[in-house]
Amino acid sequence: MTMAAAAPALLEVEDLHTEFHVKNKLIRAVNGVSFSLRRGEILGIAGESGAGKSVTCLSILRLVPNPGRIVKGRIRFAGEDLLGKSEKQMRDLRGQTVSMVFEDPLNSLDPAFKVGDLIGEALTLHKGLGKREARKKAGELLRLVGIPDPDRRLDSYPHELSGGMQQRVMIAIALSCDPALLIADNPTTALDVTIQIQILDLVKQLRDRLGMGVLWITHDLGVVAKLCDRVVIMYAGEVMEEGDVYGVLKRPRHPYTRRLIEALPKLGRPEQRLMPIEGRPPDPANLPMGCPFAPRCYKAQPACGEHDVPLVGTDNGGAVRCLFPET
Amino acid sequence: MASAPLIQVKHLVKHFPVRQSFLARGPAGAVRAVDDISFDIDAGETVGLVGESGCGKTTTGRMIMKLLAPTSGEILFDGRPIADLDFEQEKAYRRQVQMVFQDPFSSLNPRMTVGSIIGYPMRIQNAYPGPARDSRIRELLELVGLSRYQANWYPHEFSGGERQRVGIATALALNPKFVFCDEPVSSLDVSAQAQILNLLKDIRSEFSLTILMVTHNLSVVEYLADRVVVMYLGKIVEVANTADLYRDTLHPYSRALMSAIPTPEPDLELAREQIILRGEIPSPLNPPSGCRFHTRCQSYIGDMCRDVEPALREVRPGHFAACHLYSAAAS
Repeated sequence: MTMAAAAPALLEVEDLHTEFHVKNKLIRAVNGVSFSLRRGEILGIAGESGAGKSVTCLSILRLVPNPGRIVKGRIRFAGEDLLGKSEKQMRDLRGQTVSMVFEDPLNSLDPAFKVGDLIGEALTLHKGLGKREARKKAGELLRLVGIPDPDRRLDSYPHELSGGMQQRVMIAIALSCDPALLIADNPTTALDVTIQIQILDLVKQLRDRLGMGVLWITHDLGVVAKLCDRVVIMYAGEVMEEGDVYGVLKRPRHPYTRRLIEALPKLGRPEQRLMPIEGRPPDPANLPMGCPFAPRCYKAQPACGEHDVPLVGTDNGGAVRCLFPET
Repeated sequence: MASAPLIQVKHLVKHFPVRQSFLARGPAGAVRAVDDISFDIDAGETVGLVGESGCGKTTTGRMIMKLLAPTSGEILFDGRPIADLDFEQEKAYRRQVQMVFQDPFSSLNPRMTVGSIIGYPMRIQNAYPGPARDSRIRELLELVGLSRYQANWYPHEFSGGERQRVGIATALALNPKFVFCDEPVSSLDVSAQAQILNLLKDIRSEFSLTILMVTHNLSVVEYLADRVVVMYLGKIVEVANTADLYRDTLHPYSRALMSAIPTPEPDLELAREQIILRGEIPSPLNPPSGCRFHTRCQSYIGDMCRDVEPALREVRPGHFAACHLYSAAAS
């Protein structure tokens, strides 16, 4: 990797390949993804649906659903090789040192349990706390994530809470065992914008206070701009560009990143016609040779489709996978 | 471009009664989804109706579509109240008002070809009989940027953005005057979103359509709308021409909404005002007294906000806001 920073990496993903065998087809969902994340850093993974963002995260947790398989690559977390761990070791890790927040809070919270029990479960399981201690800690966690009147809320059921509150409960559960790494998969898409910004602000505060690393998956580059320190742009299972958020959004090097930004309506400039990206993303069962974006790219040359394009470092500390990057 | 208003909404109210439990008798309360709102939509104008979940924006649109009956108040279309139409007039009305739905996955029947989906409104209304219908279907497909031979395809063979094009073609099938777009791009990927917004912009000027667009995304509204109505908990808080609203946002809620929209422009992100509202959106079952926004307002100016409901008043020419900040200045 091209990271210039000296701090040791908390999470290193190297040349990750995850594939799904479906009905005689081989779907290459993640195709040689590499990135690293430092302690206390918020890294965004951005891209459109089908880019392989979620599968990358599930691969890190070793939760890829059948018939998916991690076929190649290395995932190192705090110096340890995650792919070499046994299922039991992974289970101890999940929810404790690495935890995850999902997109849809109502579907990930068991409707039959009270909020206090949902948070307490992880505490009794991983930390060996007694019932009373777990309840006390659960109340503290609810206060930490900004739920008013937390002690009363412990006895609420998930359906009694609003979407924003449910997502806060999810975050409280994820934080219950002081994780070193929080993985969040599109957790604010279902929320209203004024609630979304509260959650983004909360995550930033918690990062400052607890020093955890955060991996934040989103399809919204605006959220990346608000929240993240660095960003990885994915397309068709590959990293197209990475770098610090300001640099990538201000001066995108990859034509895909540039197109993605140009396709968004900008505040204050309604007269500027949007530039949609023509064509469709490639079929993951039948990826083109070379750069997967080449068939839709305005800069494509014959060379783009001939062989795989390497991820090359840029002068501003990022990296781009393009033969003819923007300067 | 403005002439006589095509649609006038007058003191529109919609309450949904709620029972406490199935054993308790009678309505226990009501969700006050829309609570006395008035606004006009001029012919050829695109109005954006903005707000968060539960503010009543979709309910308002559905009442204009005559899919819901108002609790009180009235809606005039071309000067005539839509509540009083007889059978034939109502059939004609439904031909003139059409709708584009939020979710292109659940709004298209998976067992019908897109040709028959687009032809369905024509079948019901007996429009374009015989071979004219097929050529109309092909014409519509091309109009929305699909190709004519795709008429025999099924919805699952299309991507999300293409399905939304089918939804737009269906809405245009009967040459409507007015189209209600309910969050037309919120379920689409970025690139498809841009295509649909451009398509809406093009067909609007080509057919001089009047559009009401409901969305929570203020940057989408800015791109398409001439005028914006901002709603909060069943009330209108601000109405302005799009450019005025963005240049000079009056209501504290609109300002907070504006500052909360994520934008991929890092310089703007650093420069602009950051307002993070406290608290949740209150329940429309029991909205706060006085100004409904006072529980979360960053510009709370005292008891007045809690006790007195602010009226929507014209603060600048054509720019209305319902906030005591401006009524205090005026008096």
